[in-house]
Amino acid sequence: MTEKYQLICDLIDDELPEDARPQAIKALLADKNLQQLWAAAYIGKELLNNPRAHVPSASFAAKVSSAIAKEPPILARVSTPVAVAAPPNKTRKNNVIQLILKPVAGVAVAAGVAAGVVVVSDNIGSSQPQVIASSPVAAPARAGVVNPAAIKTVDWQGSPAVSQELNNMLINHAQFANTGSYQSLVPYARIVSHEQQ
Amino acid sequence: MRASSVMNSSKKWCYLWALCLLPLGFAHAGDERAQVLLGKMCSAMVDSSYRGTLVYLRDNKLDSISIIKRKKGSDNIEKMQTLTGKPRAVIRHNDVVMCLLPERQTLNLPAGNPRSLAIGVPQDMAKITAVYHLKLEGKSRIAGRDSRVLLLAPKDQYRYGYRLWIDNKRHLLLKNDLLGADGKPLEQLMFTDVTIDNNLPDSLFAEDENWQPLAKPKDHPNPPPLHWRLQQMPAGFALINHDVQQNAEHQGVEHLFLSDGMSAVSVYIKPDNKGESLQGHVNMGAINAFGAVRAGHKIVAVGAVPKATVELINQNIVPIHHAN
Repeated sequence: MTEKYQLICDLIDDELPEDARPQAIKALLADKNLQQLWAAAYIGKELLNNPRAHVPSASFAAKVSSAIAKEPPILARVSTPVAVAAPPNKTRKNNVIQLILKPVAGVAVAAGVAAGVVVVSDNIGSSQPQVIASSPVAAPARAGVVNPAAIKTVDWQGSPAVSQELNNMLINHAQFANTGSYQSLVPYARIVSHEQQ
Repeated sequence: MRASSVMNSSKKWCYLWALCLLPLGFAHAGDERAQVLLGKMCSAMVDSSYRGTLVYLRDNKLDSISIIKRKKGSDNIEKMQTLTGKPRAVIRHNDVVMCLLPERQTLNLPAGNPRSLAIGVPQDMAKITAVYHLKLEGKSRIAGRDSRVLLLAPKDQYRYGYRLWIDNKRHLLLKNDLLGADGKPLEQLMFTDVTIDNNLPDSLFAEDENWQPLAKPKDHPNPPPLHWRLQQMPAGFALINHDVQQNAEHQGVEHLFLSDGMSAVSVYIKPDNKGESLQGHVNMGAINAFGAVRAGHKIVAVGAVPKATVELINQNIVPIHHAN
């Protein structure tokens, strides 16, 4: 396998001698296992050269994402900083490190587990709000059969005065909520629907 | 050992490393595709002209709503009108919102200024991915159109999840489920039919004297002073707008608008005139509101977010102590 794999690597890297290429290609065309090896090595090389490269097979990606989401939380403890600077001759090594660390960070996120509670402040002056880093919870499961009746609702209508005030606030809020983006559909649907009651 | 041999060996191991990490690479590519799709959808919803029918489900209640939307140059107009019950409608023409709501007698909060407040999807994609997991979930068919399903799963309890069905060709949002903590839909909005139409006539958007303006963009040459601030808020949320509105009684109502790029919350603060006021929590489907009276003011936080979010935001509204 190693000999064939080396051959494939050389072929991909255009490092195979001219006279050896026809034979290598002939062998590649004749051997399905070798073709799979070539495809895998090729994608591996693409990932090395461009870690953010788009790769084919969405269904495979979906399966992998699903598997990652089921990973145990232990994987999420990784919060190791990636090396910032490195000599040029270590570029490939760093690519590999990044390939390792970036997806692991992704796993940490996908697992929905925090390394701890962190209070982050992006304040400029004390009048700016702080941000509360919250405890992540598991991602919602895929929705099943639609059942709006299952929604527990406390009546919005208290007294008429309070209700009227809330309705006005809701309408006013809708004007601000995502003007110009897709949610403009939703707040207005809420308005025309709510006013039916 | 020859140098070339060492190099070949090193190269081979690099490829094998990459090969081992291939699944994770696929996952990353999936994330990126999800982000690209979300961005395309947001652009399409702004830039497209279309007409269609929506169904809106919540609280064991179903409404049918017609929608027309036209984008012509920088002019953007859309109209939604109920097809069930008494006619009610909303027209948004650029920054101006008009309502036809027969039962409504007064509008107490008329003069917001929502200009330039587009939350910015997809420009703020990084902010969105900081608080939501984006995941492509396969394909489906809505309103006779092939679509991709995109899940935005919240990373904490301070926001709902979204499942979006996005048209394959035009990238229009065909269905939108707002998901509770259990992953079940709190409300659903879905096209039953939709047609791209770049020739919608003006007559379809006509209004009459029964329409009431809700928003008249205005500038404040001398904006009134702000008396309240937010000292903490859930991760991912940012203060987008903070101003003072004038209600029908010419009372100043301080308004703070927060968003995480998908979810939004408004806080309204006005003097407590001893009338009735909301104290505590109420909800209507996915909408939650939390009211309190502090320092002689009524404070209400409202938005399509979980109860914990409006409560937390409300409790973190504090007076600004001016120097004078």
